[in-house]
Amino acid sequence: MKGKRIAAAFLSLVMAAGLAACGGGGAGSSAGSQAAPNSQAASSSAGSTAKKLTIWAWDDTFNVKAANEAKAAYAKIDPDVSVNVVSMAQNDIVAKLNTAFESGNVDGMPNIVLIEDYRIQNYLKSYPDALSDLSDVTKPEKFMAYKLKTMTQDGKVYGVPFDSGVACVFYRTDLIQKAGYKDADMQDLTWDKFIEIGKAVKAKTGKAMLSVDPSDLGLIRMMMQSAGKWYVDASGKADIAGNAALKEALTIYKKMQTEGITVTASGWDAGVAAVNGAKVATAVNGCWYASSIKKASDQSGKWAVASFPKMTNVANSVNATNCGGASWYVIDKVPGKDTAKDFLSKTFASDTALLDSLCKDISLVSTYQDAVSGQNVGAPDAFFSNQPIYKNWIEWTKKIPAVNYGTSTYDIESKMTEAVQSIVKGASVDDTLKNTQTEVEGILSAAG
Amino acid sequence: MCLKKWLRAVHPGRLAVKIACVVVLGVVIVSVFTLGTASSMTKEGYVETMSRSNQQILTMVQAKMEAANDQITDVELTINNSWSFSQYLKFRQENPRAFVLVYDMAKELGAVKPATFYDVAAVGVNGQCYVTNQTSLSVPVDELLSSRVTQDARSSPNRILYRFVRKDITRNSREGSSFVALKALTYPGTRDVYGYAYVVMKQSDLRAFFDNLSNSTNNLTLLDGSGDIVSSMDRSAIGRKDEELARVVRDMDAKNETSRYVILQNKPVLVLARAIPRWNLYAVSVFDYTRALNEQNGSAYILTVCLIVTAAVLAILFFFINQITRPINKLVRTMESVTKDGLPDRIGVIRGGYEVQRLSSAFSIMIEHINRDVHRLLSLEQEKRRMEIHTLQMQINPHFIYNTLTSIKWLIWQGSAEKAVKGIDTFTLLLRSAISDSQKFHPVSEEVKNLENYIFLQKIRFGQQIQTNICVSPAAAGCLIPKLLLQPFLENSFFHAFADRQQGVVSLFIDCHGGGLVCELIDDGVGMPQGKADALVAARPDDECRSVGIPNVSARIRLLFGEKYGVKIFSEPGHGTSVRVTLPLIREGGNTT
Repeated sequence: MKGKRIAAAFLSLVMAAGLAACGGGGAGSSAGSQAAPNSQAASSSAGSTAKKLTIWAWDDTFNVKAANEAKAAYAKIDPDVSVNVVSMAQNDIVAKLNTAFESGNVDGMPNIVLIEDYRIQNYLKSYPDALSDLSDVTKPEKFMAYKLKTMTQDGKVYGVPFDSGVACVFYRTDLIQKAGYKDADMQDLTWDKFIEIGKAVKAKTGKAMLSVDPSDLGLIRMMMQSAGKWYVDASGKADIAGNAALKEALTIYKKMQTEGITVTASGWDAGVAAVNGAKVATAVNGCWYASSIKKASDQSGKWAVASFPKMTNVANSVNATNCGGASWYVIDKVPGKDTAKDFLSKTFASDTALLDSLCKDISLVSTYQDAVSGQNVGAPDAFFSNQPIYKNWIEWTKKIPAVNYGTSTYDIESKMTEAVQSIVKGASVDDTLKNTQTEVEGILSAAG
Repeated sequence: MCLKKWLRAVHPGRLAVKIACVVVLGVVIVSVFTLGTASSMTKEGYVETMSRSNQQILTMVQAKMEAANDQITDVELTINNSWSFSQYLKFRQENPRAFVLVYDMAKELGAVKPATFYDVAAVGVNGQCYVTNQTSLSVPVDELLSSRVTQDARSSPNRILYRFVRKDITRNSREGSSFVALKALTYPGTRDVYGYAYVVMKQSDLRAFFDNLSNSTNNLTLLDGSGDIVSSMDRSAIGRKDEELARVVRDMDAKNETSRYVILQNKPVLVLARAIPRWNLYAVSVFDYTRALNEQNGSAYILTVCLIVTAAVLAILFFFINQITRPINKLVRTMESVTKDGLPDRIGVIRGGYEVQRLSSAFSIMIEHINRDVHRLLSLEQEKRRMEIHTLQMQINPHFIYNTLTSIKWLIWQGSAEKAVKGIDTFTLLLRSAISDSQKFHPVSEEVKNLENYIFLQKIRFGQQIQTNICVSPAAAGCLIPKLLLQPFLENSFFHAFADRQQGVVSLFIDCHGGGLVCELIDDGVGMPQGKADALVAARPDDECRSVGIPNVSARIRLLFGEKYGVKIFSEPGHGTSVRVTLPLIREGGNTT
């Protein structure tokens, strides 16, 4: 009897040891499988806050750098939150956003994403709940109206405006002077004057005035917006055939080509290479282009900035327009929404010190009203002949006509590049635009 | 005492120790073989599995690269056959013509290449260039045109060459090396080269071929024929020359082997290689299986489990063996005590196991049987002795009667009737004592009375010449003695010691001595040689009529009391004879001391 009891006790001991041995092998996996549901539970129960934020942006020298500075600033406010800034190509970001929003699955998506102003209307209209309402973060009176308009839908503000895309003429003072013109001639230009100077530059220096890219109609968009027009009207309807501003822009564009003052540079980098390689005397682009121009440090002091040329033949055209520019958005369903909002509200939506240092570091022209008082904003820039460029840009930003970018800017533009080709080849502007109008109406009706 | 107990516990002959040794040996052998087999099977199986999965990975890499090759070929041929490309690259074009050409070029390329594709650079020999993916060349056009890879392409214009270049070609790549697929662009039907089309793969593009397929042990590498590491999971290895590996891989390719065990950098590794001929590359997996096995660490685990199991089995085993052998040991001890201490009346049945129980009960039954038989034998033997004594007594009596009657007849013949009457009375007493067989033992004093009666009868016959003295110690007087035991000796003294003379002394001393009763009868008669005296004692009854009583008495004593007791005769011719009879001390009440 006693023996049996001892035997039973011993057997159970051995079995326990055996189980423990088995448990030893599986410990890693079981711990792993337990950790997974825990983390999920944590993220679903406390989904609005997170200890980790991810930000997607493109352009390492500009947007990504800005995000990293904001990250550093936020680390002082909330050191517990780790921020991961991921640099990606804009096309990749767009592709991933489209996939995520279309499928409704935000796995692997960032908390905060930079979206170009031209594209945001499409997201706001097509995927109404995809992005968080940031009305409590972005104070409308603090930002410039033209920028806010792009991200406002049904009275709610969905983004935090970032950079101004205020356009200007970057010009080589030395080449202009060689062509027989002075800085004063470059102020408040008209396109006629621009072409005239360009011809002189070509004749005197052999260099082109401007590089053009067949696949990028930024110049035409800038011209349109300087007259308060776009491919679509305020109600979002196609506005091509009857768009005098567009027609005039195309005419000017073709004229520059036929007058021989342009050079073709295919792609962004080629355009920059043309500027850095002293192949062109000017670059007409958004202010953010300054960082690319500055890459050619040997050209420091040879550049200056002038306001955007206006179109004489179009009423309402002003010496101010916009090109590009982007804003920060929060993807609503990614866990950590409140942390992301907190991040934005304490950095890009209010931190004037941060915006001021970004002004110095990446030549940011902020669309934050108070940024104008920053000490760096008034500082002269040695590269640009000691011109107080930021102050100029901010002044010009205020004059940018607000337009409705609509939902399909890039879809329309793919049709427009065809149209531009036809026109450059010699087709009638009116006829071409009439055809394009039909095509664009098709795109817009398809888009809904 | 404790040590002795312990020594007995581990005695090599013990069943428990034997079983334990065999089982321990068995468990150890099984464990060792299991361990060995499992370990080698684990190793072989693991290496085999990894090898197979790495082969599949290489197949996937190959498939991906071949698919990419198809796209690259499309792109190269499109550029080669494109009118706009040829126009743009051959002639320095001005806007608006260039503007249109560039647009057409982009459109034509867009028709054959996916939206996201490697950087494509078309460079004219006159310096015109076109680069896709919003990027530009990071090396000057002249340098690119005069580089070795471009020269190679020039010398074989109808082929797409794949080459590793130790520099970035476009600004998109920033890792210091690129892999290019390039083709010289020629006029149709001629070998005049007007430009080159480069498809530039960044390191990240190359890594995409084996992304998600690599792990810490398979070391996927793209190796070109000359041994340059074109791409690798180990980024620091990119651009390095590994001629040792290249030699192995080329040899494997020549011999059509897909895998081979070799020693690389003093490490045994399994090299799997797959030639990707169009790319002039080998996809190679260097599988460091010892490291992988170490990561697995299976043998230590198996060893631990084996040890634990062995220990557990041993512990259980000892416990059960002990349980089994305990009753056997008890049985052994019981049997040992039987041999040491003699047979007990019975032994208890030992419980704890069917066999031992049966064995011990059988043993117990056996002992009972033996006891019963022994008792029966003993009683039989006693009966037999009684019968023998009775017989002996019966033998004595007629002899004595004859002698006595002869003496009385002699008295009557002499005419001494009074003496004869007394003789008959004495004889009557003697006979009564002999015949009244109620008990065969009587006290020494009774025996002495009998002897005196006997002497009286003998004196009647032989006259007064023989003097007799009988001395009995008081202690001996109460002892029991078989009836008529001493009578034959006395009779012999009278008949033989003094056969030739009329005078002599016969003395009888009875005393307790040395735990026994010693009766010594001494005469000073003729005596005899000692040899004859010994023969007299040893003689079988009935051998010699003359001394019929003495061997009888000796035999009687031995039968009754054992070899320790008996009769001894010391004699010398002319000096007399001494007869010593030794008996156990038996006091009244029957207790022998």
